[in-house]
Amino acid sequence: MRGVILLLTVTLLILLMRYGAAAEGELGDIVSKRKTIAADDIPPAIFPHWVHRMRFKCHVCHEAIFPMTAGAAPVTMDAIREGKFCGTCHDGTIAFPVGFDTCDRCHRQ
Amino acid sequence: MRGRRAWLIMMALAMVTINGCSPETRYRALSKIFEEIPRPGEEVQPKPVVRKARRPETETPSAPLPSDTDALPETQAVALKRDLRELLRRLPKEAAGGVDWSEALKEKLIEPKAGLGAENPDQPVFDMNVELIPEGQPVFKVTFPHKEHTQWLACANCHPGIFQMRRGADPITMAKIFAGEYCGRCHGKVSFAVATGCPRCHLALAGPK
Repeated sequence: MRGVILLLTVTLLILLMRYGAAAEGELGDIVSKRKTIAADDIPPAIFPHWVHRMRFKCHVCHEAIFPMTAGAAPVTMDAIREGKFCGTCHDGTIAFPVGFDTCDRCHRQ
Repeated sequence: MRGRRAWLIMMALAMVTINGCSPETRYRALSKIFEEIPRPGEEVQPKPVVRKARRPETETPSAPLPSDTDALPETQAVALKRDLRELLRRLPKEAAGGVDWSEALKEKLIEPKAGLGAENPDQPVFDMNVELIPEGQPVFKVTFPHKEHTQWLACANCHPGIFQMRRGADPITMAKIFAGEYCGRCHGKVSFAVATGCPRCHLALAGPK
């Protein structure tokens, strides 16, 4: 019995290390502060710098689309749907569109 | 008696063999039992075997060519995302454990685009080192490489908003960098942090090679 519990614990630890690490943040991740409705229900959007800089150089977004200060851009979902900020690319042409299918790709824990 | 019978059987077998092995006889005998026995002297052409499909034939829908990860089915998109994570894990790391993005670029492990269009002319890389020597402390000399920075950034990203375009014009201190000014605008936030080690910028502190 003790052996079984030990085995389960070890397995759980390994799984946590394997998949827990994937959820860990990276240097440059920007967690937005939500000021609008349902701030408690929907997790804040996390911008992963690393995946974006794998594909684009800094000057593609800075500073024409985003100023280089976290929180300086007044990003709202309406602005994104109008094609501003994230919506410049995330409109289904360059990158995945913003919609109810894709909420959790940005709004995640 | 026994020897004689054996002799007779032997003779009969020999007769059968001799007769039966002539091409005409063989054809006659075999074609009674089997189909499609070739006539003597006739060339045999192998026929292609056509089998029916085991599964009922359905029209295969022509899959649209995905232009982006998001046109892919969910499983593939997830797999690609995992691959990017995997790529991130494989990128070269600097001393503090963060990704060495300049090295990743140099090794062509990543190829970030210079614009959003299909063809994006990149800005020229500006290869110029700027040496900043604190007054009376030459050992803390900082060598700033424009080359690595212009591989990522445009001139206007830093000049003149963060740095004036004159060497030594800005009162840069480590305290201000820690507070997020000057180099600290990016370093420690999206690029390597101070924990990477002093010699990354203060080359002389690396000691003799």
